[in-house]
Amino acid sequence: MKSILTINRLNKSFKSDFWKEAHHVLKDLTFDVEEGGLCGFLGPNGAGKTTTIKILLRFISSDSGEIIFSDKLGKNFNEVRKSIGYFPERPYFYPHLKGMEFANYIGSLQGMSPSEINEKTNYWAEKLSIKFALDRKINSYSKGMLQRLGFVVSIIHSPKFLILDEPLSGLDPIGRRDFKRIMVDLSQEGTTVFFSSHIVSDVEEICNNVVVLMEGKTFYQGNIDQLIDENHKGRYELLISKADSSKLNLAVLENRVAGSDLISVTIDANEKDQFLKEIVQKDVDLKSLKALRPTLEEIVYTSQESSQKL
Amino acid sequence: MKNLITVSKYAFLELYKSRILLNVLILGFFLLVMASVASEFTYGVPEKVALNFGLGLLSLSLVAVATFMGATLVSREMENRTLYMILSRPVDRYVFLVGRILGLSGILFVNALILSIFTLSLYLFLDGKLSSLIFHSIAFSYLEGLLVMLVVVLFSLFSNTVISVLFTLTIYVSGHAIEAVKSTSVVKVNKLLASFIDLYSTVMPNFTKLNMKRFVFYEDLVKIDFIASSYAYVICYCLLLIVLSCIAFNKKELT
Repeated sequence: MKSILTINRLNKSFKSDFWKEAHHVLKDLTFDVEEGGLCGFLGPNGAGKTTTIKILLRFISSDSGEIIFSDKLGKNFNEVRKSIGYFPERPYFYPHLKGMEFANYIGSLQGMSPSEINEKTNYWAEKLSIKFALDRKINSYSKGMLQRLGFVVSIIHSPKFLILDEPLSGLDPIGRRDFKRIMVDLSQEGTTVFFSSHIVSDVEEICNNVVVLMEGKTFYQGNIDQLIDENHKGRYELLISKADSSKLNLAVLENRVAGSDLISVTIDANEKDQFLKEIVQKDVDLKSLKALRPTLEEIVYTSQESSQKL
Repeated sequence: MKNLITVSKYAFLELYKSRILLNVLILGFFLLVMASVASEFTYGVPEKVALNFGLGLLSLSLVAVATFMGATLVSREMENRTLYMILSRPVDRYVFLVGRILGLSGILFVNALILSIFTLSLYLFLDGKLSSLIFHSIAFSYLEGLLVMLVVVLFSLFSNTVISVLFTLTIYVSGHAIEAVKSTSVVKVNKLLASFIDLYSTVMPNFTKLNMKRFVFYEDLVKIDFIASSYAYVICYCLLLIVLSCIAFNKKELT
């Protein structure tokens, strides 16, 4: 699969004061985003996600490093910008303009015709449940409505590459569902969606690829399923009735009460066969047995904790 | 070019919808009332007082709007992050900046137009006679507003809003006072001070050159060469400030 974006050894530092030491936000950050599909850009607050996106869009400069956009997006940065859709973190727009006027503004800058802008804006506004507010002034919009309008104007020109910076923050559950559904739909239609988030479950739910950023470095890049498989330690969870628990030697095992009459027992893969044998021999009523698969969230949190300990 | 027109159109629309022109309209009525009242206290020259009053208020109003709206013209976009949405589109930074400047220039133009109509209406009502210098004076007031706006925009790219406004007002006041300072005996006897004042008036905007109001009733005192050179001066200065602002904005880190 070809890359739509390649970032190579990107470095960025900020100085809060002239005499103070520079704070390194990005440290040799290297990753690429594959063309097509949905790629999550994960990392805790302050990991450098927004800084990376700002460098991508040339709002700020990098200290060193290389950013390469695929030729499919354009030959120069101006052409690339035509093919990109961008949704900033906590979007805020001109308060005295109406929603439709703002969409007209953005559409005109993209070189769209008035009829095309009108058609696309209404289409996406309908999907994002913001059509009713398009003729209202933006200063009367709630935070969620601003997010929805921001999403509409990010995609009205049918971008090939969509960059979303924390698009789901501050949205109600329905808004989150709508946003996720549209992101999936767009990626299925061929748009490469790259979205940053610090909510791991959001990324796990809809993305096939992920770039995990930790303290300005790439912690992991690749397929989410592969990452989970790599971190799958082969543990199993068994549920047995509480009454039978005395028949087994549970002292050596981690156990916890899962319900009023059930006990949950977690065992390692190498203990499984012997444990099952014991269950059969002692005529224990086994209610369920399942392999424990870690979530992306557990993997990321565990990795974050271990990196902090180091 | 198309994007420049789009940015300036929506900058104008945004500023227009912020109801600044409503305030100008109210100011116009205030001007009408005050000029009428002031002209009542004069002996034989009410039209002159009305015109002086009107042109003075027009000039002050343009400077006030240019200063306060110019200070936030780009800085508020950075603070509110609205410019991310625009600059992620195929719009160069200089196009964005010049577009915003043109939008505010349009607002200043409408401001000047409204107050000029009020002023001239009263002047003509009081049997005043029109002269070309009145129109030059209005044009220079507008250009003075533009110059002030460009100064404050440039400052706002380096500093915060309050400091930008203070710096600009300081430059405005000193730019008007510079010629008077030159003629003081303190400066005349001190060569070093005189050279400094000369340097200052060369480098910093000299607003005295744009003040045509003082000649409105004394046309004989002003020559066409002076008017032409003043136009050339203000236009060149404005272009220089636009170029400097574009360079600064291109290099600015939009964190």
